[in-house]
Amino acid sequence: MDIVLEVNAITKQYKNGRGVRDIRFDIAKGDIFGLIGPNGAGKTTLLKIIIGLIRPDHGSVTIFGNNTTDQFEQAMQQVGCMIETADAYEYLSAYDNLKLSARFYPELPKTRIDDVLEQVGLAPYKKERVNGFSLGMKQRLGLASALLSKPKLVILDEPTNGLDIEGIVNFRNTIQQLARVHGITFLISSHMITELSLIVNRIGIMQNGQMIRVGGVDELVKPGIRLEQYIVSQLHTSMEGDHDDHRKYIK
Amino acid sequence: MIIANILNETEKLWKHNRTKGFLLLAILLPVISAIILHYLPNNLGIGSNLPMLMLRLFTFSLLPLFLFMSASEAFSGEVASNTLKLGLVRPITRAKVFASKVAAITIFLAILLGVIMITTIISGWLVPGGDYASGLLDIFTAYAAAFIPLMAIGCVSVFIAQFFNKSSGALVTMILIYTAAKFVPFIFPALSVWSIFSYTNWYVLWIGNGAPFVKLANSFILMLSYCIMAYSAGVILFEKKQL
Repeated sequence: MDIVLEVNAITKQYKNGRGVRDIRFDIAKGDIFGLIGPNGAGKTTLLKIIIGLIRPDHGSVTIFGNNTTDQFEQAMQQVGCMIETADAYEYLSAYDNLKLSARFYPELPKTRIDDVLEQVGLAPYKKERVNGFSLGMKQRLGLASALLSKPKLVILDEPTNGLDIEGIVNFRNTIQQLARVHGITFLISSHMITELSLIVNRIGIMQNGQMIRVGGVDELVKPGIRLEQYIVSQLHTSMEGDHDDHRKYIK
Repeated sequence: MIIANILNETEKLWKHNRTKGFLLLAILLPVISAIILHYLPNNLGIGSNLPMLMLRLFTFSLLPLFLFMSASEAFSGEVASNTLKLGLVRPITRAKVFASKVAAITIFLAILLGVIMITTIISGWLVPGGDYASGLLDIFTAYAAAFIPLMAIGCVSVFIAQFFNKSSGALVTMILIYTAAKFVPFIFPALSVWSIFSYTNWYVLWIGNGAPFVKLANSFILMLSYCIMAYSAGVILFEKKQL
């Protein structure tokens, strides 16, 4: 089993007491890993630490065998991501926004920007400035930017925010196809459990800055129980103060 | 990767209307000044000094303003618009992102100085007594020398920008500091030697017979020190920035 991402004992505490504590998990090649939890659980903080936007107090992150602290360029070479909100340079067109990102990957073919814009359904608007885009269009552009470099690991934070139903279905199909056909690994965080449960094969459930469950969907969820039911039950159990019995790490 | 990001930062700076506006000013101000001087009696005796007059105007106010605006937008503005992270999640270290932003600002500073110099020389032909052919070396030396203190002011601006998460706050603070730094030496003249903002007219020492080499070297080292200190402190703060 090829490990793509390893998170080792990550801790980050803010002055207000929030943050994440002692997070450990790994993701193997081809996984679609869902990071699930209510708002404020620490999902975005964890993702930001993974991609180097926030420095942890303790712990380390390894991507494709490269530690993100001292081998950041190598670690991020095959990573695409969209974190928090799909922001873009509003004074540039969709195409020009992607052109800036494409410069970091000189091996990409010149048609790649058009291909990826086609893939997310933004090709007709590629010359329009982003400041006229709706939230859903910006979200698609963010996804295009994440997929642009043909990454082997894609990290997405709340990727379906602002998407309409058609956009959500397209997004789901795109993710499943990329994972199945190209073997791309995904780490997707969302509080929309139903949506995420349709595509993930492994999950990590976060609450109050802690990872309360990690494992394969098949391992964790008994037959006959829907994933979302399982997740809700775990969150409830955790809230009842039963942390110690339930914190275990399943590889 | 740093070359890719320098291209990105240069393109972003160029796509801002502000940068084009400054470029337009760099072309129009010398031309308009030359036309006005052409119609004034004896062109007020300043026709032959148009390149230095323009250099004084730009180095005192417009180019520092350009540096303040560009530095505050490239750092604080991108934090506010959440676009700073777009570059930081690519395979490039923060130190290189910082370096490429500073490089892009420096490139445009050099371009603006070059455009002002060329425009003033060309528009000088419109002014009686404005044939600068004999003083071209002095003009070139002055414009090249003007780059050094402006570069140092740019580094200081970039350092100040690290303390703000909005470009407006950074810009106002830079303007206030600059204004104060220009006025304080009137009260405490001794301070002007140590203030980097007092060196915007450093180019004057280079024209004509020029100042003694030791004096030029001393002031150059002072400006270089400001550059190194501001750059190093800026990059440390940038590395620590939590987005």
